Parts: sequence; structure tokens; C-alpha cells
Amino acid sequence: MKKILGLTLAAVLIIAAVGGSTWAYFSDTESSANNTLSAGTMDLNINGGNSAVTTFSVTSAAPGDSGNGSSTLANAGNMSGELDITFSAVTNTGGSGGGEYEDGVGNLGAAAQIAVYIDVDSSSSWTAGDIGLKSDATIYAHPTALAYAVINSYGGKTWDAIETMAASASDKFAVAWQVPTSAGNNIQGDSVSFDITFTLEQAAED
Amino acid sequence: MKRVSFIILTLIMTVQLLAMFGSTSAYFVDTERSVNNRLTAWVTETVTLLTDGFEGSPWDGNWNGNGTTAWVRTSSTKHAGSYAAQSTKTAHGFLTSDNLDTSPALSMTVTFWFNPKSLEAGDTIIQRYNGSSYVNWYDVTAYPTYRNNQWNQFSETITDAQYFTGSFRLRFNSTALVDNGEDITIDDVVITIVRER
Repeated sequence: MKKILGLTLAAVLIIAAVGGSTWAYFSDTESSANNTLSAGTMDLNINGGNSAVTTFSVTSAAPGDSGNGSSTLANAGNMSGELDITFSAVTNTGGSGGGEYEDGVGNLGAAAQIAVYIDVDSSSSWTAGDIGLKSDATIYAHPTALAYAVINSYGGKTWDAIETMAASASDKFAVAWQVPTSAGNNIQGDSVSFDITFTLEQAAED
Repeated sequence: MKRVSFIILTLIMTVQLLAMFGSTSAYFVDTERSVNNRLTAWVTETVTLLTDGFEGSPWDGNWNGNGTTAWVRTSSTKHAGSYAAQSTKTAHGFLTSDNLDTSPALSMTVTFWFNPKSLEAGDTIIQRYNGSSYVNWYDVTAYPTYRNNQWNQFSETITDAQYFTGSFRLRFNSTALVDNGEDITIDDVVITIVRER
């Protein structure tokens, strides 16, 4: 009986071996290695860095005077982004130095005017392709003349999705200012100031 | 059953809200600032360079730095105080101010009172010195306020930059005043400038 069992087991093993070789179909294997997901970068620079700057600071402005100030905005990341700009509230300070016409009331922001634009070609002047920012929070394009408006009217305004800045692109943000000759003595010694926030964001966000 | 449905619905809404706001706030955004942008207006002041009623001693102390004064002082005709400067047939020529530094001026105002008597055109010319030459300004007889034998005020503001010099002078030129009965009297001369403080 033991002999029969032994022979049967041997026969099964032999059949299994033969059958095994019969099941070896063709096959091949490759691999996909080093699959990675890397995040892009969104990095707005102003004047080459990430610290707050001052775009213009003018002292002793008089009726009839005018000038310009600018800061360079650069997309230092590797993704394109939409540019938004927001003006803070405008602060008027009255002259108080004891001058003949210094009345302590800040009137300059209602008299002095600015025109704000994106100097896309960084030509330092208002030229074709540049984007103007009106004081009513709308935008306009060259060759429409630069739209000057009193500084007070820019307070708290936001211009959304002004342009799409490609990676590595840079533009100038320009402020042209002027004090009309009609400005009276009541602006003497006054000052007007404001801050500006620039935001570069993914196009999908609003 | 209703309670289970409510819990499931709440869970679904919560997940959806998280998905909406969670993903939105996670977009890439970078912000930079431009601060302290400022425009400041100037402050001006008015400075008096000359005020003279010819009351001092010497009476022409403010007028003798550029040659001999041909005019005389009189007490018989004056606008204020006790004296005035006068030119007559026998005292005609120049009454010229000393050099005045008007170089920082944004504007200059010249004011004085004059009392003419029987003047003819050209008898007395008011001139300004620009640092290199005298330039005729007004013939007194042609000045708008001119009235014979009365005190008239002369008041003019100069904005022409050629007169903003380190050696501005005001000159009364009466070299042509040579006839009997003619004279002119000047009093209370004031010259001011407006400059940036």
C-alpha cells in the first residue's frame, strides 16, 4: 500500500513538472521609475527683491511742477500669474511749519494729480502696449492719453487681473504726477501719501 | 431614517464646502508693496529786501551804492513820515537802489508812491537792472494810476526770471527832467520777494 502511495505521489510530481512547463506563455516586463510631481513657483519681485519699496517721494512740489516715479515688477517664479494692484487709503497731512499759508489742513491730495500705468515695455514713457489704471478702477490702453486724476480719487481702488505676467516677465509700474498751476497757496507745506499693494496670483483665482 | 439622511447630507455639504474653499485659498499668490509714496508741496515766504521812506540818516543810505544820488530829500511833499525823495530841474539824474539779492525769488513786488508835477513824457523813467544792464520799465506819465499833483501808488509784481539776480536794482531816471515847474517826489519804497522757505 505504501508503495502505491509513493508511486502515485511521484506520478503527480512528474505531471506537475510537465504541466508547469506547458503554462509558460510569452511575457515581458518594463518599469516606470522616478515618477514625480513638482510644484511651480509664484514669486513676484519688486525692484529685484521681496521687500517693500517706495515708488516716488517728492518734496517741495510747486504749482506747475511734474515728474515721474516707477518700480519694477518681475515674475521671478516659473508660473504665469495675473497682476492685481490695490491702492491704500490716501492720507493728507496739512502743513504746520508756521509758514504764511500753512493752515494745518491737508489740501494737496485734492489738488495734485497722478496718472498710473503699467509700463509694459519699460520705456519710461506712456507708449503703445502700456496699460493705464484709471482712478475709477478701470483700465485703458495707449493711445488714449494718460488719464490724470486727483490723488484722493485713487484711494482704496483695486484693479483686478490687469495683465498676465509670464514667468520671468518684468514690467515697470509708473506714477506720473503733476501739480496744476491752478493749485492755490492752501497746499503749501501739505503732503499726501499712500501705499500700493501688488499681487501676482494664479490665473484661476480671482 | 430621517436622522440618518440628515447626517449624510450634512457630511456631503461639509465635504463640498471644504473642497471649494480649501482649494481656492491654496492657489499660489505672492504680494509685494510700495509704501510711503509721498508728494509734499513747498512752502514759500515773503521777504522784504527794501523798505525806505527816506527818513534815515543818511537819507539815501539805501541808494548811494551805485553812484552819486542826484535827487534830494524834501520835507515839503511826503506821502508818510517827514521826508520824501525828490527830483527837480536842479536835482535831476539817477536815484538808484543798492544791489538787492533777488536770486532766490519766485516773484518780486515793487511798490512805492509817487507825486508828479507837470511832468512830460520821458521826464522820469522807472528802470530795472538785471545784473548787466538797465531796462526801461515804465514812463511815469504812462503809468495807469498817474494823476498830476497827487500821490499815486505804483505796484508791480515781477516774474521775469532775468531780474532774479544777486544785483537787482531799481532806478528812477530823471535825467530829462529839466524844465521849470516840473518835479517828481517818491516815497515809501518797498521791494519784497517771494521765495521758497
